[in-house]
Amino acid sequence: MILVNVLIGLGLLVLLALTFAPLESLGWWAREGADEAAATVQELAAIDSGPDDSAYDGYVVYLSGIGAVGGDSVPPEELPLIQNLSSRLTRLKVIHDVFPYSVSNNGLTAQRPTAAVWRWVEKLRFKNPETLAGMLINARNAMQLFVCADRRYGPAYNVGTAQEVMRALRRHGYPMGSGLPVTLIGWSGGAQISIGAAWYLGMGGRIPLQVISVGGMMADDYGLDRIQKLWHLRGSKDPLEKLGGILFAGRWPHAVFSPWTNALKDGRIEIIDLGPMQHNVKDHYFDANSIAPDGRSYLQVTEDAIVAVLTGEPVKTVPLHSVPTRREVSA
Amino acid sequence: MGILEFLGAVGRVIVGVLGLDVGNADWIAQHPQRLGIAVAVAAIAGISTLLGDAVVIFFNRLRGWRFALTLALNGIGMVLLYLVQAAVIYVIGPLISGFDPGFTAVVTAVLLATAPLVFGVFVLVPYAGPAIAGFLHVWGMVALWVIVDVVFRIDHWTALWITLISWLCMQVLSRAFAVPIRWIGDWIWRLVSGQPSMITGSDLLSGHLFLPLGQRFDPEARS
Repeated sequence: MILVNVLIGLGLLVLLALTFAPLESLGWWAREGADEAAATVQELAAIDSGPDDSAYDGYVVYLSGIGAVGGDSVPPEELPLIQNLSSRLTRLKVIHDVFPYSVSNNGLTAQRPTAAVWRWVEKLRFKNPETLAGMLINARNAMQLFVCADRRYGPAYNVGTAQEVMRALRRHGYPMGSGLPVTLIGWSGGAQISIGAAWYLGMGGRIPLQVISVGGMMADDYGLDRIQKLWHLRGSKDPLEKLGGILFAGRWPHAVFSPWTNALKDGRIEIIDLGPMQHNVKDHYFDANSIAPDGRSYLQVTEDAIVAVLTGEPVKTVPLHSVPTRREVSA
Repeated sequence: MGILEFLGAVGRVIVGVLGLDVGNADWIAQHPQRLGIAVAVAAIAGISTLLGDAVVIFFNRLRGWRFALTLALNGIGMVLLYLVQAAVIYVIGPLISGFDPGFTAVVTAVLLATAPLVFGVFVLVPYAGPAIAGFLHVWGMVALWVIVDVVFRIDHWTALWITLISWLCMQVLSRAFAVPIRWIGDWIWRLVSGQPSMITGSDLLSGHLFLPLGQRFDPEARS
């Protein structure tokens, strides 16, 4: 009986937290977002062709998973991937300073009333990456994922994140109107944020957009209509990636009037089964200690796949039923 | 009857209606404060629903007196909506059942059937919100069915007929009067917010006064 009461209490807490989840983006919209968004939308729609004076052949914006706390603080497990992509893709500029779970790029530990709580959780997570308190960050950001995917809140949320991506592109020297391709890499929830923001970034067609989802939990967002291609890299043992296909009705097989179905029909979605990766804990996409039968770590497999997609080469996957060996980690 | 006793009765009625408890419906039908209790249930349901619909207020950036007036108008709109529904049931109920319980009893029944809307605030829940709204709507209809059953002292199937016909009448009315209702709603909304309204006549009659759930709000339209 006690267990039932605890479960009911927890359920109510989650429901209440979900109820309050959209308030941050709605508050932003009511304060300054509507004006900023109108200006951004006008700007995006009016981008004219301009000179390509960039040192790069394209730009890559990495949007972190739901474990992120801010644009300047990527979860440690994701850092090697970003660093390796930056060093391997020398002709592309890799950007990773956008916090996808805030419409104003305001990190959890930045200026917000609950900053002290998040700083405390981050400290705990720094000491022990598997701490249960860390789940609070995941839960908070996961709720923002649903705000992004919601047809009522999504338009306001997505214009905010699109604006932040555009600002990041500018900060890093992207010449607007140059027609240089922009690739959004979204890990986990970052994939949904990517396709959400794509609706606005793709306005006017002056920014050629593509998205790479790594284990992404995505809805049938309208943003899919405005991207050239989505590569969905997934692990066969990743339950959260599968959950996206179940929770979001527009992704069910043969769903009508669904941007996902339309993009699939157009051949603009390519699903690549990377191998027997899980979503987190171990044997996941960023796991440097799980070794595939071909001798590559799972991190390497993921990294190679992204590089292959970006350079137009075939993706080297791992047999789905293979069992990884564990690399010994020295203390 | 003290305030605590009254609140206790309101709580008991809400739980009873949510559980579709026929015994509870009999109890409230005999209660001397039944209309007051029904109004209290509807007020709680109304406040919760208004909070759930607050998303449009945010999008329209209403503050201060405009915010308060919008909420008040929303509340008045809900009361009128339920009065219309009660009137429809009051007309068709006796025709079908041959029994006239009186207009007050029917109004009480309709107000009590709003009890599931005490969860209306959860319409704010991202992604699942519209489904929750639909579920609460159906739950309210089933509650109304159970209450009509008791108020008109009829069998389940006759009560179902009355409930369905009243629902159909509301749908017909919403279409027939869509244009004038939209005109009045738009005029009030413009007066309050200074912006064009996003509502339709059927939104008004479906209870989602300022929140057309299926409508996609698009900042592009502002440019």
